[in-house]
Amino acid sequence: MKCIIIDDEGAARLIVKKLCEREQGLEVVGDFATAIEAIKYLNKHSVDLIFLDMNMPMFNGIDFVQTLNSHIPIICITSDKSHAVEAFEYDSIVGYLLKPIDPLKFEKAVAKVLNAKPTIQPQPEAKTAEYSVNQEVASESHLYVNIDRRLIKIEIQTIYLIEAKGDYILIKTDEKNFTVHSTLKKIEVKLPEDQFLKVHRSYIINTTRIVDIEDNSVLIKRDVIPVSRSKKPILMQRLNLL
Amino acid sequence: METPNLDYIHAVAKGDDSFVKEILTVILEELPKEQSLYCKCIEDSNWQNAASLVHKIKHKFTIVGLVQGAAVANEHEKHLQMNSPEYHGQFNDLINLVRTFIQSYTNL
Repeated sequence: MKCIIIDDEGAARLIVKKLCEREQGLEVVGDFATAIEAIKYLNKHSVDLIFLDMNMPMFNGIDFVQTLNSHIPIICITSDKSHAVEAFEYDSIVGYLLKPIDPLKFEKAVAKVLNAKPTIQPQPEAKTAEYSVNQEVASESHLYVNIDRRLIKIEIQTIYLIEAKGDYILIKTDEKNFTVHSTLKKIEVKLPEDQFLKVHRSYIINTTRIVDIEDNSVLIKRDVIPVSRSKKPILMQRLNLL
Repeated sequence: METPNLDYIHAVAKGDDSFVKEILTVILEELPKEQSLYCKCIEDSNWQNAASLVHKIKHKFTIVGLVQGAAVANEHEKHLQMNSPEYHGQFNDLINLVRTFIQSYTNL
């Protein structure tokens, strides 16, 4: 797994580099003192993971995430816990580490990304999973979910909201709700892109079912759903505005 | 007064002495530059930029195990954001303490 490090402090970059060296399967292909340098590099090269300092002058970590607009997993590094709250507004941010980085926490954060990597490219569910979204038999108009070892068919058009609930997702349809052991990432790839949008790290909505939009929330049926700042422009583009 | 140490650096180095040397050299290169920029900001009453530099320098305190030192840096950063340089003297002494400590190792 190729990674880059972005931190304006040389000592901090050196520490992350050293911690990366200790991880099998992790290769540091670049380290940058500014986010701009990193963006230039990323325009020409692909990487699998980014370690990003949130507090940099001129162009900070959040600016970088907004500009990058990609799904490359990012682990934020910060001296300030308050930055972490803001960081998790963004889907690509998969973890944060406080400075000085605890080597054990670093290992855990990296392991999480390494373990999650295969799910970025959708693969069949493990057969042993008791509840799962069945990716083998999903089609454009419907998908099957595995609940209590029964495959239940859901018409995609009837889904108006999907909510992440820990290790489960709650799929809300016009008829009934289904709680399934899966993730938003997995179900997202099974849904028509032009109709469904992940508007927040915990919600995918059916954009054709929006009743009302107000500031940073949408009303879908009776549910008021928050919209991340980064997703609002995409959502607005999707709407047939007068 | 709290004494700096190399515990954290050794925990990261895991026996790699060249890393210990390298990180101390980098800190010794960066810290005087950051200190001089920081002092200039204080002279110019440029509190916001001074706060950013304190934030950056604070990490170096934690690398050499200055827990109370980092807490002072935190307070200083917050006060600077409210345009108060109240902790400047104490903070600057801490920078000098770290520099002297690292210098003693790099001279070995």
